[in-house]
Amino acid sequence: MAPAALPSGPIPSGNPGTLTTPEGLVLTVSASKESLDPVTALTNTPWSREYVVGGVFTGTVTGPGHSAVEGGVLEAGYQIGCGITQQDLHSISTAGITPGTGIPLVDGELIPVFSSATASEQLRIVLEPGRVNNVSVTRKEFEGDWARVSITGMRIRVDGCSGQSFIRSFATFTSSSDDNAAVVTYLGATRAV
Amino acid sequence: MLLRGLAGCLVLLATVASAPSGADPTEPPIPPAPAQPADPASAPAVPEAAPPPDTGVVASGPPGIAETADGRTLTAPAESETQLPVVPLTTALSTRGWMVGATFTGSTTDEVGGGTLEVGYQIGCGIEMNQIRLGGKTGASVNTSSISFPTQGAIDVRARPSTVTNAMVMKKDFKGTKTRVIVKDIHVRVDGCVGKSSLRSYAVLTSSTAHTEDIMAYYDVAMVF
Repeated sequence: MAPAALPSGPIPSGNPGTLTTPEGLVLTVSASKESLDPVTALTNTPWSREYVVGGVFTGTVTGPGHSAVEGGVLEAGYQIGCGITQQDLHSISTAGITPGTGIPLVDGELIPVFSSATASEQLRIVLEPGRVNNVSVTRKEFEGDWARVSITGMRIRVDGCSGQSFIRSFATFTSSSDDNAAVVTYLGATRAV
Repeated sequence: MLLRGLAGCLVLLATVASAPSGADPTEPPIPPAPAQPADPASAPAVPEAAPPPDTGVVASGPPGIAETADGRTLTAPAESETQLPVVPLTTALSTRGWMVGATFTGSTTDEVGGGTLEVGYQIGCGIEMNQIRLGGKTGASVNTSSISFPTQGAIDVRARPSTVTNAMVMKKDFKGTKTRVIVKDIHVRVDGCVGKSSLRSYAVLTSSTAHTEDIMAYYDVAMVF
């Protein structure tokens, strides 16, 4: 087997996601050092897609009173979209034989016995419209006003895809106080294969 | 039907092949023949050393190494990996099984401790069998000059495109800066696989602090069976 392709380097990250609460707290969730590299899938077939991914995802709370926030959750993961999903593949082989006999005197044949054979093959491919799979790598629960998740050399995959496939990272940052919560999401740049 | 027939043949062959080694270990050894007058010609032949049994030793992949944003280095190598194909519990050729073992370790530099080490196996199957339908019909047809008996059989093979199955063996929570998971003679399998199957181990090391989580994955070199 050929060795797995080495990560082909970082890709530009998307713009940070920001949210400003009425009290003036600013939630920022951003990413850096991202990589999304398509590699040969474990199954060695075109229907499975695999990517080696990595990145550093950071969520921070700034603004007045930021040190008083209780904490929250930073979830990081990947979304894989597939244009056409392949379901079943039917291969229907049919063979038949038709023995028969002519009615004597009517058809006038000398040997009134005959036989014929048939064979056919039919291929049926069942397709479905595309789907998006969410792969959550981690949900980091933290206390305080910042959190960071780093991912290195992780393989993310999708199976049964016969069209184009798309992948992008996401990070959802939640910050909670006693009575309120704020949620903001970062989406990375999309890579199509 | 055809598959079952083939599987039956294979099982038969396997039975024949394993018969000589199937001696009952509890059977008392055959007592040696009574001592004979010294005769070099009748000296029992020294049995040749049997070849060592296949242990399914496989090469491990390069260790996973990651630098964290706070300057620590995470490493997750694996060693002593074995992946031995075994005869599955069903007679179907579409069930694949392996006896696997490995030692996975994970470590982080510095004093920051705690996290998880998840280890397991990923099985890839090129073509997955869904169903085989056997159909047949027969009938009689009469027209003005002949009588015939059309008979038809159909085999409808319903396959699915390739899939990867994840078999997690365990997720170990650890508190220090080093962790290790040893697995031995774990049986992993996939059912309904008619294409080529491939197997690789994986380990995901997560190093956690109050605010950060650094996740790094290690994958073994995939073996195709």
